[in-house]
Amino acid sequence: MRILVLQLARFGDIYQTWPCLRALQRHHPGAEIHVLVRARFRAALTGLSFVQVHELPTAEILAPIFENADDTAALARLTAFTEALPCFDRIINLSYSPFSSYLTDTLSGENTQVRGYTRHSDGFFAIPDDTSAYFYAQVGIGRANRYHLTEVFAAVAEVELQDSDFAPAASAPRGDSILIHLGASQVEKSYPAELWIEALRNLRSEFEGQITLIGSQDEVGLATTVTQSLPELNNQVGKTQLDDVMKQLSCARLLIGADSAPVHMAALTGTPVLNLSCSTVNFYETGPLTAGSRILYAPQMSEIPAARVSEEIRAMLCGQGPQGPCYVRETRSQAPRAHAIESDDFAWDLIQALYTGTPYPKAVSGADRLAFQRLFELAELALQHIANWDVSGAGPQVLSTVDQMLSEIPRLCPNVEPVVQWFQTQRLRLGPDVAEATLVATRRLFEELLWITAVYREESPPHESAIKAIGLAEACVPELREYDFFGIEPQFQRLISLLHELARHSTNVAEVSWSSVLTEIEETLARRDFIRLADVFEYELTPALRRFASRNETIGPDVVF
Amino acid sequence: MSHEEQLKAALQRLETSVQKILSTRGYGKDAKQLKLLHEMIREQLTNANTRSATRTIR
Repeated sequence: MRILVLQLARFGDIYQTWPCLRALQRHHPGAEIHVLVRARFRAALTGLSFVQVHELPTAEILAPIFENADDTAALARLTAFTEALPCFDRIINLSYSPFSSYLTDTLSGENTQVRGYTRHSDGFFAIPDDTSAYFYAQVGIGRANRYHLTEVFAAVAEVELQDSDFAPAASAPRGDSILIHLGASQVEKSYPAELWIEALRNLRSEFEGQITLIGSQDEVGLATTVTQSLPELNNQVGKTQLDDVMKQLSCARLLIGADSAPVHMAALTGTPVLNLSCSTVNFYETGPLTAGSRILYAPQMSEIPAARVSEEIRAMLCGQGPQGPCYVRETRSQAPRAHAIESDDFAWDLIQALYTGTPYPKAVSGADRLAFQRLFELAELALQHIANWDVSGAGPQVLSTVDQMLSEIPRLCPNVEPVVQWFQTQRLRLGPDVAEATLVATRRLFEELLWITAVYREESPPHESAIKAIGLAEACVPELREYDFFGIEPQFQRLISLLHELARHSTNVAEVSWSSVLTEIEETLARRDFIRLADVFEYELTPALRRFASRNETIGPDVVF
Repeated sequence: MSHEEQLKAALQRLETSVQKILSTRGYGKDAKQLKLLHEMIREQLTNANTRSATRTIR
């Protein structure tokens, strides 16, 4: 088997791909594993001897355009490059960019299994796997995702990670040194020089081991500023290659730095990290992974007090617990825990409910409940127009307006953004198809949106929802026996919403569960077997709902037919 | 002409070519390669080529 992994992002992303690559090798022992990277970042693969590395020769491809405005020659070079690559059985695109989606599509053969962004047969954007759809919807700065990028990459590649995919089991004994990475890839992620000086001066008075500064040639100026005040520091900035840094990390007790390549390298050497983080980074996604690491966070880097940095370094070196507000990475696989920080977990809990089936979090604020109500109403409106679809009528315009209004709601209430992002991503995933099939698929998505938002629409206790569901089911039966489904469709939709609401509030799965009820209803409806549907409502669902409603008003077990 | 201006000019030329080929021959092999070159240039212009995987440009 020949597998290609596209990783066209930066050094840090390549290092965060290492565990996935190792896991691929472990899962597919005989496979050839190829990696396509940009030439500039190729050094980040040094040390992974089992991969075959390909470089994207961007400068060479574009050279004719700069020399002669010759697009044809540039195109010929690009074509020669793509055609020179071998055929791949699997392509795993971990780059998440429009360019990489076209490249993945170009390199895919008829039988290539693709994961990650690609294109449909008509050139439109395609997301074939659910994890990449999750990435599109929920990952990034300012979003509520808390899965680490290494876990997301592995899920896209459909491999399970083990500790051995990160740091080697046996490593050289650690000396009494700590490493400081002063800089970061962007200015706004860098800790100011004067605060570094203050923090390291505080530390110097108590720590007798070696403090080594690391970084690239671009950070020499910053290092010079710091060492002018602290000449006793071991300044290696601009003097080492990436694999030298890897060796230094293997021997160091601790790394201190912002969101940068050394933090990701530390995950591969098992080195604990004190990570300085700010609002331009989502440290849950790209923060340190070694157990015992900690994160000091402030909206801006300059707001992290130097005293906090030095006291936390001291505590980590002495094996003491956190000295103040911070986030603690207790294990590699669990998200960092907030220590002495009040954290609003609603959006993250909502994401987990959407994607992993955990219970939906309670909406405490009136603004959140109102936002869900608006989403529910928009879904209802869309479904009404889809039910009475006329391509030359108002339907298409209404759907377009609904889409626009859905986008606006998270601006007023950010907590509902995960739902809107989920929905819009699922819409995006609908591939080219005939109009009728697209309409059916669109209807299903709006129905799901309706069911999700219905959870927040009412605060009725479950037994009251069951009583309402009984009334709706009884109202539907006579019409269904007359094959008049469209006459009762609004009541039917409302009934399904209530059943979903009951299913979400229920915690136990009995022999026949709410989800089985819903599946049977859906399948019977899909067959247009209205008589059978009427029988289900009259002889099975309604009696079960009566038994449920007659019980104690606390949440009970699933309905049993 | 600066590199940026050259890339912008190339992008415009390629946009025209891509539209033409899509309307006449659809999204086939030739269109794919043209579109690929077009995207390669576009990401150079926005510096998206050196951003992290969690960039806002999807």
